[in-house]
Amino acid sequence: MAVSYSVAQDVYFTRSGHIYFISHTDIIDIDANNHQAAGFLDVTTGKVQCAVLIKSFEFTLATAKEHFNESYMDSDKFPKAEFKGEIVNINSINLAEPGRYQATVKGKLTIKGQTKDLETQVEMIVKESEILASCSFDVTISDFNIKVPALVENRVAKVVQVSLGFKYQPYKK
Amino acid sequence: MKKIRWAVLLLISIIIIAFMVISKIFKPVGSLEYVLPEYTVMANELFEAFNENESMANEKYLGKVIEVTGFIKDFNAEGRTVVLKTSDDYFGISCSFNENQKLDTTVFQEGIELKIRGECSGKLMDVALNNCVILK
Repeated sequence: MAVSYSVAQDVYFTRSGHIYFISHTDIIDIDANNHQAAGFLDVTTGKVQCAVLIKSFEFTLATAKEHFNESYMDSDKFPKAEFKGEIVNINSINLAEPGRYQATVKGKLTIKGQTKDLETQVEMIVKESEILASCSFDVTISDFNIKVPALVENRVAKVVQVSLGFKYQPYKK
Repeated sequence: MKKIRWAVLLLISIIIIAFMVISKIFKPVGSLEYVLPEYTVMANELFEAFNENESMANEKYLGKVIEVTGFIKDFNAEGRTVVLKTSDDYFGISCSFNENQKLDTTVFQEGIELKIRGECSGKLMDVALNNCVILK
């Protein structure tokens, strides 16, 4: 993850962002958690950037983990997914002031080498020394060249629900 | 009589196969407690390997079970992750523990030395290990 921001007080960072996804079907629910997502947020410009290692998703079921990494995500070839974008309504919210804000974030989501536009609403809670951001959105797996064999296609949802919870702190490097 | 015997055998076979398939599908992610590591390294050595040449380090470590020794820099109870110190002021080795694992969080105090076994998932800012177990 290339960090292109200058080091300043207005840049916030997390190394332990939480990403959760669930593939829901009538036969089986497959879900996974990742608590190692990295993210940057510039409260002045509204630029946001986050990245996650595909192999860092923790599954409960061994077969689900194996299929996710080897068959669907090809995680040796595409080890990271990332999002780069900005808060489009940054001028109407003040992330330097404590409070609760609704941010509209627009940008590019890259998974498995495929890049698509993404727009989502993010709830941001600004506290004295941290910013909490949470959102959820759907990912259509065919948009990212994720192919499911016909034999198991009724066990994997065509649209996966994704939730994010990031606790940003001032980036003081 | 023969037909009944065959029918019973067939039924038993179907039940056994169904049981095996269901067991495989619902088998939980296994612990690495008794899995031999492919590499044993110090936290800083692992971090530097990724810093110097990420693609070479990925080739060597990605998806492999490795043992890493280092000192605790940070602990996130909610996320069940520990970060081990490296020579970098800010970034280190982020070790995540699967929810299947029992975790004694009382050992997680800054400066304590730990030996952790986990699967290497690559590097973002920190180098990440997953499905970790604590060895000492």
